[in-house]
Amino acid sequence: MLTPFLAIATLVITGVTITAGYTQTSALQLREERQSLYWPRYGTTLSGRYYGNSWQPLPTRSAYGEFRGGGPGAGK
Amino acid sequence: MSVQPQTRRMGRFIDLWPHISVLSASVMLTALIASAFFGNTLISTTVQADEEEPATLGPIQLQQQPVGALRVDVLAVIPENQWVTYEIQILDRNNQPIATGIKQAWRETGTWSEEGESGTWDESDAQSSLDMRARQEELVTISIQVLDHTDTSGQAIDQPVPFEVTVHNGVVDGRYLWAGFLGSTILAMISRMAVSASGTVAIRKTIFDSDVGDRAVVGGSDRLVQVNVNINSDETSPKSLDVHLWIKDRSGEQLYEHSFPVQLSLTKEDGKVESATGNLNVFFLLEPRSSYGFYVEVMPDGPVDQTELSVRDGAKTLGIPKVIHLKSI
Repeated sequence: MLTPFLAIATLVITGVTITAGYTQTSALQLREERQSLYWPRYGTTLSGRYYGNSWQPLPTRSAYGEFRGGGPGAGK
Repeated sequence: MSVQPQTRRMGRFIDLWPHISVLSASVMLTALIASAFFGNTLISTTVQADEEEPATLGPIQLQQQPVGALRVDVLAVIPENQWVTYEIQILDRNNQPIATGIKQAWRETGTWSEEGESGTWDESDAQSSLDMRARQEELVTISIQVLDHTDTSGQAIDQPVPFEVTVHNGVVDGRYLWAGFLGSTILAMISRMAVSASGTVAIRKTIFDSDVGDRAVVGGSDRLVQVNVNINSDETSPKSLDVHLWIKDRSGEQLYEHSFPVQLSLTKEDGKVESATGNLNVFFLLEPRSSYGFYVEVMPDGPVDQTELSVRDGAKTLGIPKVIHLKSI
């Protein structure tokens, strides 16, 4: 029958979306090599990946120059 | 022979599944509303950055948490007609980047004129957001670096850009919750509508007149019978019509008859009635399961264009409706 199928589908949708939303499965998982579930927010794409204990920038990122981020003694 | 009809409310034919769907959708709504109360603001400020000098914020303590993530929201405040490519960098306690996200932001303005009217437009896409979760304890610094800053023709601009930065911790991803809410609500609505189409169609007969009838094997002590009469009438429709219903047993003897008043819903154009529709829904419990004849006459018959009789066997209900119980020995 249709109604049991719809009820089970509703339960599955509810369970999956609440779990994915609350446990933030689409956030960037720090220090993880595989980010298969990352879902960019507001078009913020990752410009590198974590590989072998450090963050490696993507090849296209080199067009902009090195990381200069933060802290005393970094950059210039 | 004639039987004494007994009318009482029966809840034993309720279909529970649509109620489970609705309950599930309610849980979804609660989760969506609750998500607004999750998280606390750690930083809310405006910083300046340019290509030589990035802006830094923090440090922020990050721990592994079962629910929620750290969210860094950055809004580039771009002057008119400029493009800014910037990067949100997350640095660990040793100043090494452990995550970076790029946003290609822009703001463009112009004028428009169409059909004698004119005005200005101002479009932009300068908001970025990075949610992150830690597996181990981290002490992070956030750095905003401008990677590229030009006007719309590609000419470089050497001016600092202000960034409005907000950092929250323990926030959840509302995108999934909105999608879940939409999906579960739609399915719950479909599920409720499916109940009125439950059971097997034993009779469906349409006549371009006001008298219709047919016979079929329906009923039984555990099978609810749903009789539905749909009326289409013309511009001479009154506010209500009477639907006269007869039920006959397998030998053609009358078991039941009753006249049901039906309110018509009128379709008007410029204040005058164009057409009308009316609907009658009656539940029966007919014992024993046998061949029954269902006959309908709509009175007055003048305005009636079309009458459709449909009888469903083994119907389910959403609530506890009145059921007419006819038990012939």
